[in-house]
Amino acid sequence: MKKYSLAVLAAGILFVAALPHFGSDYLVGFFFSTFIFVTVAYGWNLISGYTGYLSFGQMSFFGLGAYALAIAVFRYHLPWPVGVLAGGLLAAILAVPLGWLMLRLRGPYFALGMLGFVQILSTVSSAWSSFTGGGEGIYLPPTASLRPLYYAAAAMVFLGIGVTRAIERSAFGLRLQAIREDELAAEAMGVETTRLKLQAFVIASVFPAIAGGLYAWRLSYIDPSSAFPGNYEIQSILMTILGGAGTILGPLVGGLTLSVLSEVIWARFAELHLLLVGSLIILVLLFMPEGMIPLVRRFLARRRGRVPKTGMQEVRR
Amino acid sequence: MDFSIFLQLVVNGLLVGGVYGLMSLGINLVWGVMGVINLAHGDLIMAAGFLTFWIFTQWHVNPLLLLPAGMAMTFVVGMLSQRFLLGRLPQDRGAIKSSLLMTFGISYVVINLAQLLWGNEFQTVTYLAGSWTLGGLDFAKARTVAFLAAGVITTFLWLFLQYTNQGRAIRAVSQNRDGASVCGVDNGRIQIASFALGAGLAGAAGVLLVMIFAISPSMGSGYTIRSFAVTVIGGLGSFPGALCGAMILGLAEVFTGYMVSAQVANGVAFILFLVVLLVLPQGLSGMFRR
Repeated sequence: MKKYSLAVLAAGILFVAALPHFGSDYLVGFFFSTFIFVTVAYGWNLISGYTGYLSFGQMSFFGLGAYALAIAVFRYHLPWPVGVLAGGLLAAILAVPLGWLMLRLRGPYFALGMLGFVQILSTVSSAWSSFTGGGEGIYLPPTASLRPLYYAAAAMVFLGIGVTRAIERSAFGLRLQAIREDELAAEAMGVETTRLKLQAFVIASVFPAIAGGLYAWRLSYIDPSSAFPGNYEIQSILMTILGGAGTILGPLVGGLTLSVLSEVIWARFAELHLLLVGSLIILVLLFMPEGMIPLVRRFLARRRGRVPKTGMQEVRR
Repeated sequence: MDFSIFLQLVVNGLLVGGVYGLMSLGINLVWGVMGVINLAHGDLIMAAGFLTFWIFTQWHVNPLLLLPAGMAMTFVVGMLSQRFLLGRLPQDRGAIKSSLLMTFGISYVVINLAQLLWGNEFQTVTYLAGSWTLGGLDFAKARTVAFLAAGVITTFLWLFLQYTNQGRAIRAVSQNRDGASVCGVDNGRIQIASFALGAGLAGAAGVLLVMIFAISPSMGSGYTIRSFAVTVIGGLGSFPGALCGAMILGLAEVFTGYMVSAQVANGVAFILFLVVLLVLPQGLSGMFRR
């Protein structure tokens, strides 16, 4: 099994690395935007899939990353990778006080709190026009080549898989899942819930921030509505629950499936995009609430004649 | 600040607050009965507002006469969503999370439909321009009429919850689900009724709101947050608390809008929500209950 997954990983890296050399620009662009979504989805998976705090505000970090890049490049003439990393760092720094405040709230309170925070940041970015360009936005020099951006986004996806895998198998990850299943019980068992939740929140904030920076550099223009795109929020959530929230490969599998589906089937109905994404969320929740990964895993186990393993990740949330 | 300006702002804030009260009662009711937040609440407000705008510009029907139409539309949407979607979610520990996710999905479906039907622009209904003057204070006609209409609907809702069997059953379920069930209340039916009623109240608020403010398909989440903030400020399940909270939010927004800017006023609901949750987790009514 271990050998098998190593082989898959090697094949994946090889494919991703070689793609720009044989694939068309269109294909590279397709995978770039898929990787951006999947990166956001890995962040959401950590805080909402593993820790159980449903966040509808990951776009606040995405927008922060986008603005950090735009301002670093436009005002301070820094190279774009510095801008992207600055965005990630800024998000992590902001996530500490924000998480300290927000993570006291549970369930719907946290969900609506984060939803509100996106609007606050969006309002700030349009009101503080001397710094952010306000409603007119910031125009950046057009991106010369997509390749470096593509590799950076791919690296973020591999980082997402790696971090999630490391967390899932650590005591830290088990404690996060204990918080998800029953926070009060976890606390009673001696889990330092406040600190661990905050750590998960901070790690989960870096992924959307870096994705936002890459996205802004690719778009070479940023304004409040493109920096805090609601469709990225809902689509990355759909990808995670489609693949399986709280699983290592869920966001990747769900992300690839959804991107291919949307490119092949409904690219022709662009004006119906949000409607289709919204309906798919409803359908997944009704008919496949655990997502694809647990279903596949159970199917494989049954074929091998083994009793399915019921780890924490198999318990429905 | 001049005292007369101060009084004028108070009037404006209270008038808006009346509509906010009506808007938040829907969220309050659904939450009380089902422990669920409808994240599509604001989008239903938006949809009813656009329906009003559309019929008004087509046939110049008085917006107040469209209140039943707006309420009926969102009522049916709410009923169907609860009956066929939310009601089918497994009722386990994850029920709150999956219902949040599902209403988030529904909200994007509503947004997309509104964009298809009515475009992406800001729209408003120019009904009753001008204002009445009373004791040196201006009562903008549209706002006053919206306030009065909201007051009438709120009163009817209170009477319904207080004195009808259906209303008693709804209150019983929100106080103790199992107890109500033992007394012969059909929980599933009450949940459908309250979710539909909550959505219908969103529709009523939408019809009134479009008379006061410009609306756009993407405005929904701002109003979901406002409704939730009012509920949090007032305390869950408290009628007077909700109205008080709505007035506080209305005043806070109007004063911020005057002293700082209209943009910043949009963030006031969120700030109030956070401050109240961190300082007074039980809301205003909790402060008096102690």
